[in-house]
Amino acid sequence: MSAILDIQHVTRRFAGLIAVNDVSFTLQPGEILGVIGPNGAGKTTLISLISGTLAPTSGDILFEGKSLLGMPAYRRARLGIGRTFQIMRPFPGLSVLDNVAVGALFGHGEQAKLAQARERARAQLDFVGLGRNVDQRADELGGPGRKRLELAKALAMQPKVLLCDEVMAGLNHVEIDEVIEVIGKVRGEGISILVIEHVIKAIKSLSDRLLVLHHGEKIADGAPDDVLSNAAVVEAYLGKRRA
Amino acid sequence: MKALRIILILAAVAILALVPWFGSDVLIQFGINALLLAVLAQGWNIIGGYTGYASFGNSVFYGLGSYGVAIAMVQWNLPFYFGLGFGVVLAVVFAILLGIPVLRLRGHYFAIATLALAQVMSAIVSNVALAGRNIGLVLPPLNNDPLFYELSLGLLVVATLTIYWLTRSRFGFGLIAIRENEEGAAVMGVNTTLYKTLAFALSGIFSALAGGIHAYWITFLDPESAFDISLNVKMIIMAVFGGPGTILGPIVGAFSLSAISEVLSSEVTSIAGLFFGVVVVAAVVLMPRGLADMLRRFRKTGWRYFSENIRAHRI
Repeated sequence: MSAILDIQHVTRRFAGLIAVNDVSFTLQPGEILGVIGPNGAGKTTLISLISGTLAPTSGDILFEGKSLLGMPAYRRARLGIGRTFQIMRPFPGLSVLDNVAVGALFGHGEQAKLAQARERARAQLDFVGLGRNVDQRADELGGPGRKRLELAKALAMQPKVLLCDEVMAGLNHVEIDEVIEVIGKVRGEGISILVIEHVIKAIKSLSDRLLVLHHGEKIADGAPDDVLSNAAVVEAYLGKRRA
Repeated sequence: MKALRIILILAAVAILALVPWFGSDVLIQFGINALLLAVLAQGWNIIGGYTGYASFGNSVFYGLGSYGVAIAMVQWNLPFYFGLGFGVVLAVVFAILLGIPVLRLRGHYFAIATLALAQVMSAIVSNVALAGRNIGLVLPPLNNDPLFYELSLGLLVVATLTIYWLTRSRFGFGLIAIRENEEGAAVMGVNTTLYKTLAFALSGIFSALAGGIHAYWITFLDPESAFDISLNVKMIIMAVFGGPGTILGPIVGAFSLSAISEVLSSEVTSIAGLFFGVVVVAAVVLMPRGLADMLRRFRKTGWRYFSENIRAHRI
């Protein structure tokens, strides 16, 4: 089985700061890969490098075996890479429905007419549990609603790979469980998913595999239970244990 | 409801089209000016209202359209309609050549960069022999105001239909997405560079056509008047007054402000500019999202609409 995403020795520098340092990993088709790490570990930078809003300083990123280097973000989106933003980027003046319709109009998959796109958007909004809010303006949604909207927008693009940047941050337990269920269903449709999350419990139950970033470097990659009991990971999160 | 609206709009267009048959010469001339300003406001609406890029470069398109007609008719003895087409070509080439570097800038930076364009063009044209240097060009007169009136009205109808199409097409949704959040639009698959450039060019086509008609009507142009930045300010004020990013708002803005300015300059002549300024300031304070937004919300909120706007924008 060949990887759908193959990250090869990717480094990204911001002036003097190395946000992502020589990171390599793969995402397999149909897999849910969880990426965790303390604040500033380079998680969001990693997603931006894959989605094309940032370019790597060195290294290569392969999607279905082909390099994405130098390819603008919109073309990656059309190839089937969808992402959500941690700091949500809705189209505030548009209705919730039209926010999602943009994804159906421009994303991966066949190019829809406006009426079809709105139909697909409506279905997608039902799917993430925003079915009752279709006619609201996006900036009238509360925080949890906006998180769901981010997901619906990315899903309407009919992506092959979904990159989720903290879609559960700021949600309560009930809402987290609902989002976990949604992501599970998305995987059921054969979409490969990379999830960045702070809520360890949630990501542990969701992920097939966990990857830990610390100061931009990969310090662990493997089955969730193994990774979470790894001494280096515990140290990164809780600090060094005093002897 | 929808059918009623269409009938009302068709009736309004029909009445406007009949003006040359019963209106006075003064009214027709006022009409030509108001219609061309409305076309310019609609042109600006595409790049400023729908795409969210406050362009101060649209008066350059207007000037290129004027010179397209003037050069074709005076220097090459070609017909007016060829000149219009030549002006459009100049505007599109300009939009692509300058749009690609300038449209990378956002917000205030874009506005400032485009602000310089009119000055630069004026300086360049002043030194081009083909364009009559800084003396300008005198076009063959055509004493047919009704024709200019109907041409302007037709152009306004086409511009407005184009904007109507924008609101329900994939292209228009891409532009609106760029306005609402450019990075968000790009990761959803919108080719932002291409779309912005196309919007700039489309905006330029209408401005150029308006400029071409105006040049033939006035029969004279020089670099000063062709690349006049205050005309660009006017189209922005009109579009914003009526409601940027709406289909009919800029037209309402252009007509009402033209009328106000006309009344003021005949009533108080010397200080008309001052009163016009007061009207614009009052409009921005009381209804910052334009007439269209006011009409939509006034029914719900009543007079509170104005007090809420004042409160929402206090320092």
